[in-house]
Amino acid sequence: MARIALAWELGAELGHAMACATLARALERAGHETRFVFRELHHLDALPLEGRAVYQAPISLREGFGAGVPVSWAEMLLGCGYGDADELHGLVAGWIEVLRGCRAELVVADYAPTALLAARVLGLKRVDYSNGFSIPPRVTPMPPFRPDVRIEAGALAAREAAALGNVNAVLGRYGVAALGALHEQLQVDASFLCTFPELDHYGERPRTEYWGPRYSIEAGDDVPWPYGEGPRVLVYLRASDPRLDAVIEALIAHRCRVAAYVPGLDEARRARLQSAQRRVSTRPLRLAALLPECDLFLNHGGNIAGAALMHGVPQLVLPAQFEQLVTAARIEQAGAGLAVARMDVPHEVRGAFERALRESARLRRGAQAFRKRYAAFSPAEQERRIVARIGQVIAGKPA
Amino acid sequence: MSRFLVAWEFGEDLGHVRRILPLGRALRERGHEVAFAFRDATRLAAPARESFAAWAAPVLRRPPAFDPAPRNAADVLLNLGFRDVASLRGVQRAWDALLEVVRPDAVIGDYAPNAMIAASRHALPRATVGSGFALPPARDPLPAIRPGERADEAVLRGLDDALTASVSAAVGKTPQITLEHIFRGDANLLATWPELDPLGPRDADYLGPMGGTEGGMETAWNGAGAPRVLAYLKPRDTRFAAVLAALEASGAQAIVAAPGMHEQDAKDRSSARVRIFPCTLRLPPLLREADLCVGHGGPGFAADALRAGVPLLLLPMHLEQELVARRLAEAGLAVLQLSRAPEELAAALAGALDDEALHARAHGFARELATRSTADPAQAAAARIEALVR
Repeated sequence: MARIALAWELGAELGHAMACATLARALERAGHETRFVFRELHHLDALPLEGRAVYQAPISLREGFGAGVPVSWAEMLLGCGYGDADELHGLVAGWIEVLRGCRAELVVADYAPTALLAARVLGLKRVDYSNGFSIPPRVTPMPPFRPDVRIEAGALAAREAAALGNVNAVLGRYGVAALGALHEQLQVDASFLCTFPELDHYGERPRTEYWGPRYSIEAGDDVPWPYGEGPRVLVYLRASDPRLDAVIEALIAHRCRVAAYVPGLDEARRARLQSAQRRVSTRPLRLAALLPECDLFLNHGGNIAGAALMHGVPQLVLPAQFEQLVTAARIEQAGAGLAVARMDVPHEVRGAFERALRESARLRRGAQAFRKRYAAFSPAEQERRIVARIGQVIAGKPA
Repeated sequence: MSRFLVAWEFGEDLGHVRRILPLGRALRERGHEVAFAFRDATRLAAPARESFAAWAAPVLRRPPAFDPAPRNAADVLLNLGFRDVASLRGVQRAWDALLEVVRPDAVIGDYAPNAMIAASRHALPRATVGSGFALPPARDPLPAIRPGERADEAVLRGLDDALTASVSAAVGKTPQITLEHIFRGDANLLATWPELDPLGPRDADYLGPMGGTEGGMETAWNGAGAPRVLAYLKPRDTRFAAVLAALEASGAQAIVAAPGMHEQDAKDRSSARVRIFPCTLRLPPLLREADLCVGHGGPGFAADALRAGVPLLLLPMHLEQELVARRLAEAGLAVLQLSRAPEELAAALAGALDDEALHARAHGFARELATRSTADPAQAAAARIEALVR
């Protein structure tokens, strides 16, 4: 039995925190103690954490300042404090403090590269647990993740060298051996790459074990589908999305039956959306009860998109950042959904929404084909295997 | 031996670090254990190098909109995220976790209202330390701070009530968290001078600015022109290019510290007379021979300049800096430049360089400072904090 810190350092939204909280419960059932170190603290109430201790993750408040959308892992790190050895040293020091403070014996890193550096300094066991985007291939150079941007090999290598230089400078200050390559930062005792090859942001990887998507559909409020005639549309979108108004109008115009989870929704728009036919919640919904009868699922393309695929439900994906944009493209490629790629053209939402309803049969076939391909996949079994493997890591046993 | 947690929650840049690090050292010298919690975790290398416990302070979610001219201290916090009850609740929960591990005997906050609230909830002794901006005079309602505006009492009281209501919604009503818990401690240490206090002068015990600039690159004046202007500027300020042009046109020799600037950019825009450095500089040797300082109104740089007897031209970027600049202008130690027009900037620079009375007052103020209390402000603050746990 061990004390396990679940660390989420980069990336936004509920997905990482929800996955960590869910895994933690399984780890606790296996007798471990858990602690959380989270980047964002504002949605703790929406997570199954009860009274558990949650610490602030050390992060740079100037993330991405003055930089465009990164094209590679190294560039992303450079925008998050890795561009300056002193700043990175500060972040590593903060991680060391919190991991020491909660007396962690093993770190579960969910998109938490600096937590992995701190765990390396402290000599802690470590695993990673995330999706394709957050667990990049361990190769040199680390591949760029934006197919839409051309980048010269020289520039890519230079950024990787800059990030590696600062990582090694900081490791040196702690008397830890230098890394030979940036991807060695991500060396772990076990890697839980939670996606399918078709959804992998870096494309299908050779000799990689895929653990399947992670999502939890059992937690949340029980809201039944409203009675009536219209298509049953599930909505998981953020209130700050500039396309939300267009979504609301489309739902009303098509007389949809709606179950919606829109965190941060203001009163005016809630009043516009809410009706006997359209249920609106500011807390997560229990998807297990809704997915079987769902006709269309509107979401941003986070972990929850995997749940839709595994239930054979067509999706309209409205990505809000680059990682989700790639997921959305993969879902379109699989013929299991449509995407509204741009945030700044809300009028495109209506057309896409109508098309998704019109092509519902085709999209359902695509989603169902995906579901059949992975019929053997079970989230419960995935969780059981991950917990078992973590137990082996703690016991020092090989896989 | 006691254990102290020194927390910094709001405010950017190095000013807070340069204040609380010497305070931590002073407490340690007196035999105590000190842990720091910093808003900006990328600054934690400094305390970690000296083997202080170095935590990331819990931070509120950045609010979607920001009002650059809040009406009073409560409005400032509402603006910084205190309207967001879910975020407040999460941040308080993270302070609970941190306090549980650190187990301090007292909490010292440098603009750290959430740390103050958490310490109140845990019934721990509390102190505040700061430049004055985070410590509003204890009046009901909290006084207006927007320059040149007389705010309605009812409006101010409404803001105070909104703040306490938001905090109550997040942490409950027992214990009842009041403005006193949010803004003030059992001891309140003003690490500034009355002339530099953005909400002063007031009837309070001023300890004087704490700490000086540490480290920084060494450079020196050369023979490329006179007078000598030392500027400390944010490259992201929209006036940056206009200031450089004004310096060039003034005939002065200028050294510009612009941390955060790209190295090549700094090189490209430098000339024989105006040299730009993309980093912090070691200021004391430069200040000794400087004729004028140009800055935004950060109290740290202003204090360094005033100690050296150098007047300032101040171009504030936000409210706190504007209030500091107004105080110094009232004292005749600085020229406050609010207009953003390039030709007016150039005229203000030329005027400040030529204003002999301004220079004489700055010299006089430096001489007077030297006669004020010689006690080290960090040591004085440490002694008062120590008294809280006796």
